[in-house]
Amino acid sequence: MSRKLPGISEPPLSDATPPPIPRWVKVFAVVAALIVLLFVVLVITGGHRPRRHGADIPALASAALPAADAFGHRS
Amino acid sequence: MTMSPGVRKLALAAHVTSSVGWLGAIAAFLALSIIGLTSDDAETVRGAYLVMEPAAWYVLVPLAFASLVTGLVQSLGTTWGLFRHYWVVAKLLINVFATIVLVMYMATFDVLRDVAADPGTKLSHVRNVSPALHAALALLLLLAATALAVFKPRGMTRYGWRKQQKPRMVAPP
Repeated sequence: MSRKLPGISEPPLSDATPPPIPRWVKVFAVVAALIVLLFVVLVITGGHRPRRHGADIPALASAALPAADAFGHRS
Repeated sequence: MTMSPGVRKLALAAHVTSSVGWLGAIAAFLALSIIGLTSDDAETVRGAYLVMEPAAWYVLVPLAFASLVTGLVQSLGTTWGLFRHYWVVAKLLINVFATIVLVMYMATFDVLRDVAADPGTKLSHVRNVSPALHAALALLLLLAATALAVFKPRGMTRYGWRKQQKPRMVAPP
């Protein structure tokens, strides 16, 4: 429990003060940052090829087609 | 730049139609992905993965860009603005992120189509959980964007606040 010093109070929210950032925005920012971080890590590490999610895609996909990047992009 | 009421309604209708259409198309892709994973019929499984790539090019990609463009028009042409309210910024970020991932994912649809088209490939190799996973995540993102559009949670950015202050400051006392 915080004690307020005499004569010092919270600044009144006036037109001169920018509005505070709402809590939902902070939560959104954290979740968005985590999702983008995960996305970047998956792209960099190449851990996002189609075969990783399910059964291995056989030789056709890897041999007949040019090399794919993390998202299966063909060069 | 502010649109006339008639143009604003038209722009809003275009944005809602493309955005909800995108959401519905992703739901259909999720259903298609589940059919591909669970069906016992080999032709149905192959057909599901074969149809994903062209359907994505003809439906998902155009709707994604239509949603993005109409959203930009809608925000810039009204007093909501693009960077004045947090909910508009959040929707923009969701839309841009989902569109980027979709465009990158088109190459995966190519691979899945080629694998499904090869009659020598085992059915267990044709099945892939990736489209279902991506469709489910995309559905969550777009549902969040829809919720933001409907509820419009409070919160003005510093930029929006400054813009709001400006007319007051220049107004005569």
